[in-house]
Amino acid sequence: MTDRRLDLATPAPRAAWGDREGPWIPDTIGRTARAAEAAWKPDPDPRFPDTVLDHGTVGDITAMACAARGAKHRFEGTSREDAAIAVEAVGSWALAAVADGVGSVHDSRLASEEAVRVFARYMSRRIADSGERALTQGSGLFGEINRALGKLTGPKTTLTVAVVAAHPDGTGRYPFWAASVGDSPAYLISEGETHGLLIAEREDEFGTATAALPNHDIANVFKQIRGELLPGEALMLVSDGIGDLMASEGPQRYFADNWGLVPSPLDLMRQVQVRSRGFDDDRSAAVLWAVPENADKAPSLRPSAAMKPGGPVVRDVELSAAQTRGLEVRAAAARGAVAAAEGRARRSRVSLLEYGDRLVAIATAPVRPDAAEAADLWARTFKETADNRPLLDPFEDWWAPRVWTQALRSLSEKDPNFDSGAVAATILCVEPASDGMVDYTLSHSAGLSASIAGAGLHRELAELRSPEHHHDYGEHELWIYSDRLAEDQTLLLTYGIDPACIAEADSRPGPLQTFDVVDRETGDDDQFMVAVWGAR
Amino acid sequence: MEQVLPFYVVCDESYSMLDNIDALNDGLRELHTAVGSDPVVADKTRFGVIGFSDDAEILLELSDLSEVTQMQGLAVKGGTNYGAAFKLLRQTIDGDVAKLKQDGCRVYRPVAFFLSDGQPNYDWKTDYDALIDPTWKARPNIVAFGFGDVDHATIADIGTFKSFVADNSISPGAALHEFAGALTKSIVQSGTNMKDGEVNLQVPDEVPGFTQLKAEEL
Repeated sequence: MTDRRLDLATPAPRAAWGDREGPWIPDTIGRTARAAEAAWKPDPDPRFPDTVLDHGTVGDITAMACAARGAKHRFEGTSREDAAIAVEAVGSWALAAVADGVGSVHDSRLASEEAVRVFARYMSRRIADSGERALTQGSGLFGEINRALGKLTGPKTTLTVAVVAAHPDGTGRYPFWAASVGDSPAYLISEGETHGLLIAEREDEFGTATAALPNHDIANVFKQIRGELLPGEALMLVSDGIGDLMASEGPQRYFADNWGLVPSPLDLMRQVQVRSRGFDDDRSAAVLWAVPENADKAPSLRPSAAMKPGGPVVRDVELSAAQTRGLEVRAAAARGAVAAAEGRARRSRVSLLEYGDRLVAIATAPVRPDAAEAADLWARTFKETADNRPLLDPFEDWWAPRVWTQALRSLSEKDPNFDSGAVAATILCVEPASDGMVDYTLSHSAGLSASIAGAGLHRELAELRSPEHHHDYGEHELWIYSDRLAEDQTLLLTYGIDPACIAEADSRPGPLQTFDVVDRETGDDDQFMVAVWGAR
Repeated sequence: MEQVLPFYVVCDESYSMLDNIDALNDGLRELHTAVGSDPVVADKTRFGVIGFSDDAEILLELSDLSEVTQMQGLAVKGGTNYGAAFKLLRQTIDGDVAKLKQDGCRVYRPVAFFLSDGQPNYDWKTDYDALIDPTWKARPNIVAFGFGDVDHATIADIGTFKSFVADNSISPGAALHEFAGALTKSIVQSGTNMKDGEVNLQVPDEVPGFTQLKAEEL
């Protein structure tokens, strides 16, 4: 026998990326999870940003729902397939759901999003019609949801939901109902321990198959439970990205310890992403705490009645972050203080789109309270226009003003009374240049901050230089800048957020630090921010 | 606590492999590089190699490939004892699964890539039946590759998931290289599709130089 040794290549060092300091790094349970440390690629479908979060209170119930891409989808640059939602109904009930789009079926993100959306709509309608009796009609509700998901013809999802009374019954308890199809489990957190409520037993311990919606045999896969929360207890619904972790003692302890009491939204978002080697699935969690002492604290949960038909639901917070072909970017949008106090939906919008080597960010926010729907309409019209305009060379002078003008024209066709002056809007197009530099074309209206930051300082672009173009459309003005960003500079677009909070960070804020900046902002207006650098 | 998909290569090291063993070792080297550069795959797959001739031996214990800097390559030896290979594979899987579980891992059904270029000259049915015993929970999915003088029916019998035989459309060395490429693809794609699906194992249907043997209809 000849003994042969194969000498093997040394793996490349890991990229330094994301949150790397302070209270923003997700915890790790067990050995280093290398996939969780790898750089994220952009979300391919801008309607499904990397991380979404709902949070707020109704009555004595505090609810948070967060869905985040797992390490696999982030590394591959594929879409999040989990969805989570938390809303309130008629001021008396908290509703929450998580759904896990089945990965082996195409477009399953559409199914999970639709599942949590129609649950919130249908359940709140049933509650509005028949009050607490709606909680006894769970199988009928799931039948309705099943039919709605059948119309998607293909995509499948799990769905786990809960409804909790916002006010105590005569015995000081909070009645709840929870139900599920598939392997997204539900737990009760009580006195520092988690207890399984709806747990999917896997028939084949070496397999992963799960029941899903739509399902022709829903009666056999539907599970429900009714109970009561004592003050201080919580209901926790999670996708199997967390549920599979919960099979081990370490993670059980982790979630029981961290979610026994209401965490900050930042901590919940960070803990959802707890790292564990090999657990790279999407993560989602919806947690409902019965905490009477929280009653008067803002923000308020969004009413489900405010949801519009169709499309992904606008969450209270959305966050994207990516490193791609010489560019690094963060984008976030969140409710401001007024929306949080009133419990209304966020009106600011941000989306990141990839066109070949270029990244385009579109962000809008209403600058006047009467422009409730205008920012959304503007954002959608911008995107349609940009999608239809060949982006052959956006650094030609004509691209930005032409997209802008054309978008304005279709806006006035859609709504003759559209007031473009009521919205702060921007389109940013970036492309990597050599040596870590970035070429950008930025067009923006009045009302937002466009600045360049470096070495802890920031200056408004308008103070630094003259724009390449300045258009006055009467009802609003447009400035266009085309320039190159140096490797140590940040291009910052913000509305309702002080750019100094990002400019003064010690290093590039990672995704969670970006959310922290947004979350600390206490201004009235709904916010957005976009930050761009050259990739290191 | 980790989730782990174990892959085993069970490889014929009989004398008839002499001319092709280098191509196979090259393929293993490339496999190592491919897995090491993908953190998603590296985090949740483990890889082990069993070589067999007159007897069978573990050439690489089930390992995290991104932590392996050196491994024992394949080398030609004596005869063709499938039974010894199957027996050792079952023992190894039992030991590995027990150890992984003891470490708190969730273990997915193991995958074994079996490669042979000749007729077995020992009895093997008993050990094979034990390997695919449906009452044994950790029984592997087997992908069988036949090569050279191998009997097609034998290879078709051994593969429980898919079976391929070399069709001489390319050189034996190139075909073995393709074998290693198919193995790499299977590890990478299965390693990134471990969740949610009813079928976790992703083995290409077409491997250049090989023809897939269709399972006979019952």
